[in-house]
Amino acid sequence: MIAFFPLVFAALDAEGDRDLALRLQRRDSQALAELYDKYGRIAYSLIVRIVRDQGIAEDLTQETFLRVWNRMAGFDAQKGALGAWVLTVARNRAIDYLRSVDGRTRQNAIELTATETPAVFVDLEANLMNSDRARQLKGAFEKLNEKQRMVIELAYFEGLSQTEMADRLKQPLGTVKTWVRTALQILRSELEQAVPV
Amino acid sequence: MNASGDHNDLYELYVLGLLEEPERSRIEDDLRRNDPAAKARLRRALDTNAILGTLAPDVAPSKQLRRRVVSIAEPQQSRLPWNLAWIGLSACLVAGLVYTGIQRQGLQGELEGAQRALDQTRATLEIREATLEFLRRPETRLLKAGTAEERKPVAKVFVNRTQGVLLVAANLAALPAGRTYEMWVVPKVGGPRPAGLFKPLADGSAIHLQTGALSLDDAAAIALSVEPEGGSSAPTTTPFLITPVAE
Repeated sequence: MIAFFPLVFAALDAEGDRDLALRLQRRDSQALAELYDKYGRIAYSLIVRIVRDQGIAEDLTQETFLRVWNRMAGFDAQKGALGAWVLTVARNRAIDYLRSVDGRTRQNAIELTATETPAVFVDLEANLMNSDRARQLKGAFEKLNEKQRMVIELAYFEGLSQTEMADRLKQPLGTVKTWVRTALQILRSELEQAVPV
Repeated sequence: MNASGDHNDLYELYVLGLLEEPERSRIEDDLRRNDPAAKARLRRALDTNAILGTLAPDVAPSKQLRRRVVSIAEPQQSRLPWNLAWIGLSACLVAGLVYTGIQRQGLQGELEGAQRALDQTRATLEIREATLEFLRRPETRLLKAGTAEERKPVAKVFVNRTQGVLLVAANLAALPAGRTYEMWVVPKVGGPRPAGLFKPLADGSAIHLQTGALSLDDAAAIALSVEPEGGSSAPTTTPFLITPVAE
C-alpha cells in the first residue's frame, strides 16, 4: 500500500527551477547542492520504494544526480521541468538495477535511457508536483480499486510490462490489460479535470 | 474500442519503457510523424508519471548521501596513501578539541570543522572500501590489462554487471589547468555515456570507480578522454585507452 509522500515542495517555483537549471549548466557546484536539497529526498524515497534497500538506494540516488549533472547541457532551462526529469532518471536507475539483478529481459521494452532524454521534459507543468493536478492524481490513486492500484504499482515501482504482470498475478493478459487501461483512464480523467485544456 | 484508441490510452506505459508490441510501434509511428496529439499525450504521460513518483513513502536519506552527491561536482582524486594518515590526524584533532573544548567554549567552531574533516575522510575511506569490495566480488571481470610499456598510458578495467566499472590506470599524462579526465561507457548503438570524472596523481596513476548497474549487453567499450573541468555530456577530445567489453 502506498502512502502519500508529504508535499515538501512548498518552496517550489518555476522561476527558481529555471535559475537552478541555468546555474547547473554553468557547472555551479552550489547549484548541485541546491538541486539535491530540493529533489534529493523525494528521489531517494522513490528509489527506496523500488529497490527496498537503503544502501543500494543511496548508490542509485548518487548515480541519478551524476547523470543529471552530466546531461544538463541537453536540458532546456527555459521550458524544462527539472523535478519531473530528476524523478524519471531516479525511477529509471532503480528499475535498471532491478532488471540487472533479476536478469529480466528487455527485448520487448524500450531502453529506459531513451525515456529520460532531457530534451523531452519541456512544456510540462513546471510546478506539477505541488499543483492541483498532483493533488487530484493522488486522490484519484486512492479511488482505484485494489487490482487497478496493484497493476499501476507493478508498472511504476517494479517495472513490469503487462505480460510480466499477467505472469506474476497468474491472470489472463487481457484481464491485466483491462485493469491497466481502466486505471490509467481514471488517473488521466482526474488530471484533465484539474486543469481543463 | 478501435486499434488507434488502444495505443492512445497507453502512453504512460510507453514512457515507463514497458509498452509491448504492437502498441509501442504505433505510438512511435505517431511520434515520428510529429503528430501534435501524440506529443500532447506524451507530455501528459510524463506529467502523470512524475507525480506518481511522489506517491512513494517518505524516507529520509543519510546526511552522508548529500555529501556524496555534492562531491559529484568536484573532480575525484585518488588519495589512498593519505587515508590512514588523515584518519589518525583527524581523530587526534577531534580528541584534542574535545578536551580543550571543555576548557574553552570558543573552540566549538573548530571542533565542528574537525568533525566535518573527519566525516569527509570517512566518506573517502568508504569509496576505497567500495573499491576493494568491488574487486572482491567473484562476478567482477577484468577486461584488459595494458602492457607495461614505459610512459604510455595503460589501464586495467574491471566490470561488474550490478556494481559498475573500476578503472586502474597508470602513466596518464599530467593535465593542464582546467582540464580533467572523463570515463565513458560506449554503447553498441548511440553516443558514449559519461561515467565520471577523475584526475591522476602526480605519478600518472589513477583509480576511478563508477558505481551503478552496467548493461553489458549494451556496452561495447570503456574509454577515456580529456575534458574541461566539470566534464562534458559527450567527448570533446579523441577518446583513448578504448577497452572493448566482450563477454
